[in-house]
Amino acid sequence: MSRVRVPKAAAPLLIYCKTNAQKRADACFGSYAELLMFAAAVGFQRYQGKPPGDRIEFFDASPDPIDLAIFKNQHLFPQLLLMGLASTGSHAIARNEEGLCALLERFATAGSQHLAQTLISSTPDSFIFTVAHMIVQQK
Amino acid sequence: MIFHRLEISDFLVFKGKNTLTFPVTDDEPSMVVVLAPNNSGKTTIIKALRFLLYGTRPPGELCNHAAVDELRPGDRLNAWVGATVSVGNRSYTFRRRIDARKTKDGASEIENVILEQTQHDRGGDVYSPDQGEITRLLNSLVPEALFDFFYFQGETLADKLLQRSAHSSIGEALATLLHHKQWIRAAEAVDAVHAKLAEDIQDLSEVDRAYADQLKLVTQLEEKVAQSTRESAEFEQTTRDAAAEYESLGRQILDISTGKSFEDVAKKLDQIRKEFIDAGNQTGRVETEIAQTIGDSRGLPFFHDAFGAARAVLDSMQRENLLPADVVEGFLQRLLDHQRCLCGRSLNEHEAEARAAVEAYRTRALSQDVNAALLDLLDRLSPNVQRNFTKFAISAAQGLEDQLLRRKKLLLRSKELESQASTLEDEIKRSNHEEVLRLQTRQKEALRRKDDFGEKRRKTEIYLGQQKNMLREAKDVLTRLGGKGFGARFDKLTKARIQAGALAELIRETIACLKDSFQSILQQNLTLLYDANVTDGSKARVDPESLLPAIEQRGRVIHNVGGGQRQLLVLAHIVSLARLRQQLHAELTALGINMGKLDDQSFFLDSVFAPADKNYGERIAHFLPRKARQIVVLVASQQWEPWVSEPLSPHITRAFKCVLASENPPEGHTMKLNGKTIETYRPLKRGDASYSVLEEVPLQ
Repeated sequence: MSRVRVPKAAAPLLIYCKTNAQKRADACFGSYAELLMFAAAVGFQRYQGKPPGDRIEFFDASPDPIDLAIFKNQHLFPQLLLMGLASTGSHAIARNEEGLCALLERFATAGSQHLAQTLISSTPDSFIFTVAHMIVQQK
Repeated sequence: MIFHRLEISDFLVFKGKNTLTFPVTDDEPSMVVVLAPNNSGKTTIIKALRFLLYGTRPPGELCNHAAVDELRPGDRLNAWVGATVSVGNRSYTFRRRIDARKTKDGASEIENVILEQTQHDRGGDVYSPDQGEITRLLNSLVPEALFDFFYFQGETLADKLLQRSAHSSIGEALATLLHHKQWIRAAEAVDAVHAKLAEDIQDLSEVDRAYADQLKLVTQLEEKVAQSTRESAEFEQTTRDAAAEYESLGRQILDISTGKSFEDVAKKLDQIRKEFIDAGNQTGRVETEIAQTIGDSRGLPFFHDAFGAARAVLDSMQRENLLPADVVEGFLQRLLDHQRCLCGRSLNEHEAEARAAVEAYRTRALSQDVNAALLDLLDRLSPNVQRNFTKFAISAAQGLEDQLLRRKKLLLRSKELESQASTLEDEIKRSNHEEVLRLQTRQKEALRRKDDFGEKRRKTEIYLGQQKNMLREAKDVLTRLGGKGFGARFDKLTKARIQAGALAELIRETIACLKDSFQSILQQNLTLLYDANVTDGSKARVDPESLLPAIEQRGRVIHNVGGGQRQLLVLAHIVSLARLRQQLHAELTALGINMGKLDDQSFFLDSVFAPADKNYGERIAHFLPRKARQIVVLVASQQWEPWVSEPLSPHITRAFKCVLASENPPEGHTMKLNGKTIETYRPLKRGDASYSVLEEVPLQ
């Protein structure tokens, strides 16, 4: 089964996951998979659907790579396919789980970088409100 | 003063003897109308009244031209205005006569103007020059300054009233009405009696110097005792007050030290703190909601550009029959592994063509979970489904916007509550300290006063005791010196002097009370008459100083009112003045003071409808009936419109017309009354001087 690695760029955001040992009280993401999907959405928008080709550093462990089945179990697969189809413009990606995982990793890295930058610009306490404002601006 | 008859003879435009007789009953108010075309003598009736009452001569010749034309030079002419009026139960007939002679150039030369009182005799009326009775009566009943109020000439009075130029004249006239001067004279007379009594006492004392000296001593001692008694009582009271204040302040300080005085502040602070905690809890809940909404959004709002592109790929898959998948990839793989199709055909290496076809199909087929996920995605990209991604993204963004707004409001509320709490906390801290200091200072002051006045009272009581002893001794000496009769007379005079002083004071207080009641009575009547009839919701106001009317509209006092509103206000004011007279009359009668000259008053109203539009004309016509015991309305033909004549007609008790005799008919010389046409023109041959006559118009 294909797996999605967690980029190191997402490190500052991990405490906003409810599954993190040092999670914050205002943790908003139910799992690392949800965090990566959210970050990928941000990255997708920032790069207008074209995955950036930068070199990515991943955690080898802690957190471990996430099995694609986790995304499927958490009902994130249709959204992952949405990202794949829109980004490649081809249905071939639907049968290419490795390709989907790679795409997710790239967009999630880009989105994590942006969110981490946002976190630095604000404060840990105000981070979720900054993110909320980012979402409101998408209306 | 009610008119029974008004006669105008060869005066101004009226030729010959013209008589207006007015119906007068005790119970029913009367309304008389005089209908007249323009310039036929309507206003002359008002001028004639002014001439009759005060001798005021209008400009120009007083004698009628047409009457003078019929005389030869040197011939004498008697023109007059006369009236019979009633005041209370008494009736007066009088006239003001012009004794004139025709000059050679055809004009009339006035030799004398005489006010005459008329006595009715078996041989006819007997005229005798007024000895002052009629003049005094008229000046008392209708002072000239108030003439305009009762013999009302359209705009003239409105200008006076509303341009605030009538202040002093109204005040003076009302003072005359109230016999203010007589009241003052009465007070002065009582003062004189008071002074005379003082002189008598002095004279009496002169009779016996020794007695007088002793009496003086007794009086002085009595005054001193009275003074000391008063002072002692005052000191005692002040001491008691200071002691009570001292006690009260002590209790307040105790309350503060036990926190009782700040119970309210503390309660309020407690309430604010509770609200603050509540606002904080609510903020926490909203923040949790925000975090939840962000997580639940799964970033979909950022994917809105992906929706169209993904939908296009899915549409192409549907066109290529790849979606939904008829046969899933796993099934095809199982056929290849088993090397046989479901139809039994072999798919081994010997049947390469068939195997290649199945393998080719497998490369494009979807796995079961991908097929399901793509169908789910397709569904969510369809615009009409509830789970639509676009709707979901918008809903998430909208929800977050609402939550952020709620959080912002709660934070502001918390900040405000925090500030309030901080203020109250400061107040409690500061107040405790400062208030105690302040109360302690006051307590010290009260204690000082209590001690000071207690000491003063003690000294005064000692002094008072000494004075009382001295007084007792002085009185004993006085008794030994004087006889009983002397002392009794002295006491009597002293008592009378005190009573005279009190009476003078009472009279002055009465005058002040009467003047104060003017404004309130006027305001009550004006409110009753004006506010109920006006159409724009304005309220009438009486200036307490000038007694002039104004209106209040939307909180603003307006003096310069215009149009029909102006006319209504002025009419309401003059009727109020008449009612003021009636009420004062009633009050004075109830007090046993019979002035006898203040009750009913007649009104002659000229050009009352002139500046009014239809709306207000109608209002005024409805307003007038029954507002006074006698109303005489002089109406020009131009104002005799249906909205005026219809409301007035049922109330008319007698009607007259001014008939103008001239070469050419005046405009509007015919009018309608109760359906009948009234002609007010009489043709004259060329060269004859025009004139007017008054004629009664039958009502039936």
